[in-house]
Amino acid sequence: MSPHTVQINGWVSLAKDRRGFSHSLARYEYECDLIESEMEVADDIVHPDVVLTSGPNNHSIVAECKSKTLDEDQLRRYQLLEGNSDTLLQNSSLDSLVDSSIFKLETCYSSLSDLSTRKLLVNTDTTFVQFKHSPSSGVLIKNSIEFDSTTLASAFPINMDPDEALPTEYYPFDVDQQEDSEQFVSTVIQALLRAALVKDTTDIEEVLEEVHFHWNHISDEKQDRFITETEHLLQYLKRKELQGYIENVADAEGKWRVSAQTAQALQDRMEGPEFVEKIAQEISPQTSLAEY
Amino acid sequence: MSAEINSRRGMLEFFQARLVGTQKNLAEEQKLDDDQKMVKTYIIESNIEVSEFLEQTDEVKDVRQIGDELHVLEIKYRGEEGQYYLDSSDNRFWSLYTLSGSQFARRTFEKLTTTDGNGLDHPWIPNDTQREVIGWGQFKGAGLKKLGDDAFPPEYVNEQVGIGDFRLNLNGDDTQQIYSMFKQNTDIEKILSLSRIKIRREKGDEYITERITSDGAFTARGGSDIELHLDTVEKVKDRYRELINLIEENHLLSYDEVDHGTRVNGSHLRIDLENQIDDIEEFISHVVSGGKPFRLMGTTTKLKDEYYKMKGVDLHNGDKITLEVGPTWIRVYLYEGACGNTALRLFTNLQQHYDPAATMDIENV
Repeated sequence: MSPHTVQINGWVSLAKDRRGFSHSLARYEYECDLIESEMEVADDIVHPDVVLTSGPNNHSIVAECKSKTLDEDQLRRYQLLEGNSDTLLQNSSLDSLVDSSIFKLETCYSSLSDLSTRKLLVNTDTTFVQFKHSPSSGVLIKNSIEFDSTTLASAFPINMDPDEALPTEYYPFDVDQQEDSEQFVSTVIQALLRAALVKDTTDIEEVLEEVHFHWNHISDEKQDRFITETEHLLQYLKRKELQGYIENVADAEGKWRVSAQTAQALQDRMEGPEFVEKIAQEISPQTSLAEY
Repeated sequence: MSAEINSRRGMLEFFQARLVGTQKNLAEEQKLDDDQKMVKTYIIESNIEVSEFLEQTDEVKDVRQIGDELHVLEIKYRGEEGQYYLDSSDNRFWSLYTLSGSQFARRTFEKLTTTDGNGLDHPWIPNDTQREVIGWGQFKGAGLKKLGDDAFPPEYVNEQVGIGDFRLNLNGDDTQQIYSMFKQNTDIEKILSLSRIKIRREKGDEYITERITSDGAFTARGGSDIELHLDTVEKVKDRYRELINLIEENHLLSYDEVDHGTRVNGSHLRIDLENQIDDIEEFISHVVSGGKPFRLMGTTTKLKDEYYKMKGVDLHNGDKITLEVGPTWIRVYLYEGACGNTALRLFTNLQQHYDPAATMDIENV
């Protein structure tokens, strides 16, 4: 699973009050307000990965999930957003705020690796949060400098049971991340199984809306890539694993015939993780799903 | 006899006569000539309309409506025939009454509630809730059985928790002490599951003795007032409905589209296990085999050593379900519109067949 997807799940999970994973931010009534939003601020555009908001604290954390690279211009735009908190208010209808007149937001960068010594971050007062974790070995979430919010300042750093693994389903995959390809395949098959059990046909749009809750928000360019990947996977299943059990509907582009037999055929073949692993490898040998 | 029954009142009078007759036979002869005299009620969890059920169910050979949301059904299944009364006044949890023999009635109930895609299921009552029901009356018995059965291969469960074939039927006042001993002994509770309970409830001068199974089957084994039987069924329905509602209110993931992004609502359920899973891949393969009792099907991916994910569907209704599985915990993700019964089926079957000490963390329970 890609670092980007892991981090988005990490942030969302911190705001879910569930046993087995830290609910350090849920304790202060932070909730996941937005994922992959797009906002215009002073003629510029920012695309925060996650926004968590605490109504009682009249405060939002705007998180940008990074892997290795840092972009100076992106940081400038986030700083611009920080000085224009009304932009977030206007864009996300923060109903839970107790008093919107004293609303504040803080931006922060996060990563699985330590980027805190990078010149760009050293020279700013933007908080950098590191999720030091692997999905099976627990999490230490530490920050480079304190948050301005006293509530958040007391919440970090977060130490968690080293036996815990990170929840991963709040944001199951990103079609642009090669490391998410198994989850992409698995999620499309899940949608296909559902269609096979409850109706006779499905089409590519239905599958996409089912598997990706951001479908209506992602850019046209990304939608096109997503369509291509999904069509390719369905064609692969038709040729290989589901030969005779899934067919294009004649004269109906993008429409597929499925049935209870399709589900049974999948059931007969999908024993163990090797099934998805093999399909993910065969449909996506390149460096990125998007480049297929 | 059935042709004379044309109303809810008539049905209840008929049941009342049978209930008192059953009690008389039990009191005088300490046995019943045949168990057809016992009034049995089965709870059916429904996601469809009654009309749809009556149209689509081949086993229903004849239907006669005798009241608002009350039908008399002639059911034929595997060569046997019997009369049933379907009360759908609660559109989510129907009651199916019968005086048919227990084996035929049980087979019919299972057929109706375990047919893939027919929109019907039965309750899956967790151990804690069964113990709560025991508290509503006097303890009169319980059934404790070994794990595994049809859910896992016997050799797999024996390897995991180490017990051979074992079944314990406790029946009578003096068995409460034995039950308490089992209940208090954590090690025993890890390997024996509570499959049924028997209680006596009293209200004023009236009483009822009930046998209640973990899948929502009630047998009135003597008593003085049929209303107390119906009251027990309703109380169990209410408790179960509460669990379902809490799951559906708090634990279905939904995504609201807002102007500039997406909001995430709801959170996962978490099951904690006492019996550690040694081979997670094999464990998942049994859970998602597509067969009874789990009725789940899906693909598995390995996220890390000892951390797997299953994305699949519930064959009962086609709802999506995702599991994340570690050695001692399972996260359950359900999605908008899903039925909470899916999670309770998984949880209760894990208690019944793998780990009676398993707990599920439901918000606000």
